Amino acid sequence: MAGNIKKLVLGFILLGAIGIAPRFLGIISLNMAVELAIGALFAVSLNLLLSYTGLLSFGHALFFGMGAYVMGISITYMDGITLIPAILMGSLAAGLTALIFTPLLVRVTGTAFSMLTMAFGQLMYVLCIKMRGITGGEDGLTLFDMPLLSVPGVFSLDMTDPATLYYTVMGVVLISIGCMWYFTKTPLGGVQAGIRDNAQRVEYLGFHVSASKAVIFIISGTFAGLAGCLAAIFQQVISVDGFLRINVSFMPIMAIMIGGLGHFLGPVIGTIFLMFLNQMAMRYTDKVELVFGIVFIMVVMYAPYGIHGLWVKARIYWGIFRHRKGALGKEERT
Amino acid sequence: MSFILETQDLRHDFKGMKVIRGVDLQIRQGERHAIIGPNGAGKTTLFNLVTGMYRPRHGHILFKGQDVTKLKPYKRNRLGMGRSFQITSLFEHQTVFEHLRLGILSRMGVRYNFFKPMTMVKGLTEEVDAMLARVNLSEYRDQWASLLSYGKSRALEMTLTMATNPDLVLLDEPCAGMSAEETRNAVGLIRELTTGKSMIIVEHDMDVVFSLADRVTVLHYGKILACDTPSEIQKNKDVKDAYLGHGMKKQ
Repeated sequence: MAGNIKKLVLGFILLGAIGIAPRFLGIISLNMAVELAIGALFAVSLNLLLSYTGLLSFGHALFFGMGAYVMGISITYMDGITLIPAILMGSLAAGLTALIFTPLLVRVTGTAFSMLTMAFGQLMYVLCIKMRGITGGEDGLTLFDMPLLSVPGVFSLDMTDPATLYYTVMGVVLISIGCMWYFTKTPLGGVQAGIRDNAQRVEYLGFHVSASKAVIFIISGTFAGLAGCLAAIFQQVISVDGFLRINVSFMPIMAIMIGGLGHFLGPVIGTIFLMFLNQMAMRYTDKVELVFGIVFIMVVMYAPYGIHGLWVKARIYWGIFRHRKGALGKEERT
Repeated sequence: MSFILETQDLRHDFKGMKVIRGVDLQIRQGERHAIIGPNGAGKTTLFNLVTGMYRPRHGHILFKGQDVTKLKPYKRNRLGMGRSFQITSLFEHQTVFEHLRLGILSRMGVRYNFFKPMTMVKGLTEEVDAMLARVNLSEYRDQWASLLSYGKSRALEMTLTMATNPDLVLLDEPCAGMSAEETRNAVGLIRELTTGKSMIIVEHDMDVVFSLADRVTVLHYGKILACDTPSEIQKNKDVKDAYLGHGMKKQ
């Protein structure tokens, strides 16, 4: 109970910090925070598959890019569309893409699943380059006039204003991550954890493993699509390299591995870490990817459960240390 | 006489190697039925055919009068067929409580719900706790399954199978590798959990078989050698020759 209150207080402090941050942060830091939030949402959506269902997807950029492109295309070609329906269309299109691929994907596991997702991801990458007429090919789509995020007569937000963008993105990201966290606590979330640990047993308990996996896959894809939409609004340029390339798929995997596999907020920690690492590395070298790679290898070799795992380990050692100290103290007294 | 499970001329082979060569098994409603046989007789294969892991090359499986030959395992479970595994098959990173919760959820038919948290599903926590108390696992409620002793994890394995409340239970060597005392506890648990249900058990420990079973089927090279009450089986000359005689002398 005390732990819960502590967490609640911590949550409120964090929320307050996010709320007042624009008053203190400059435009660059503010934009970094937005980028971080989007990256965190993307990574958490992948974590739903990786940590909670045990599926390693190498093609999550497919959904990220799908969301961004569908939103971008609807803004470019549909006059007078406001941002809310465009975002909805983007995320739902990503979910729909997941639905289309599920019949194939739920039937394979392990390496085959990873390779298949990677293949689909690359397929979409090539497709977007080839369909120049709609997607702009290698030049991508530029969203020159960003529509307002508005409900006519109720409110209207201008996404080109950094502070407004910041609050909108933060709000959407926090609500989405909250939804996904809630999801892990529901019966389907329980089934999902069972599938991760022992799919065969879950099947013999009367659960349709493939169908359950499909639902989770669609949810994960939809939120990845939403993250893509937010990223497109933020960057105002949708390009194949920024949204569909294979390294877009790898970033959230790195964030999860570095932050802590198996923990819900691991990817958030990981995204923050990578962000700072990126900033630091950029000052000294232009080979940032090399630094990322070395850090990633170190994590896999020496801290397989990432930062969260190290934290748990540190707490255990601290406990042992205190216990020993206490025991010694007693001995001295007697 | 009504049979809860019936197999008709069941045949199966692995790449031409005939493992099951025409099995006609009939399990009566409410009986405890044991399947014994030497190693390689096809006991586990028969189990996997009945529970749907493999699809038989030939023959039919009738469960409660319904042809289930082509049904997937989860559908057979929903019809009321449950199984345990020879090699303990649990969820490594989950507590004992979470195991049974999954079983009870399946029994309640709550499968795709992702709107309501599990703590708010009516009666769920209470039922899981009641089940834990029934099998004396309450003190391990919040412990990870991977940290349980062998005897306890076997008990959890069986309890998890029973959590979905099946009418027919198939237990695959529930007492394999257990000490004498663990075996006694396990037999007590099986008796307690399968009261009023039909059960098929594969077991090598003859004490367990003869103390639990109402009828015994002897499987030999993929065929039924004999099917009778335990006392008749012990007298049967064919069975003695094939399998039991050897084991009985040792005892």
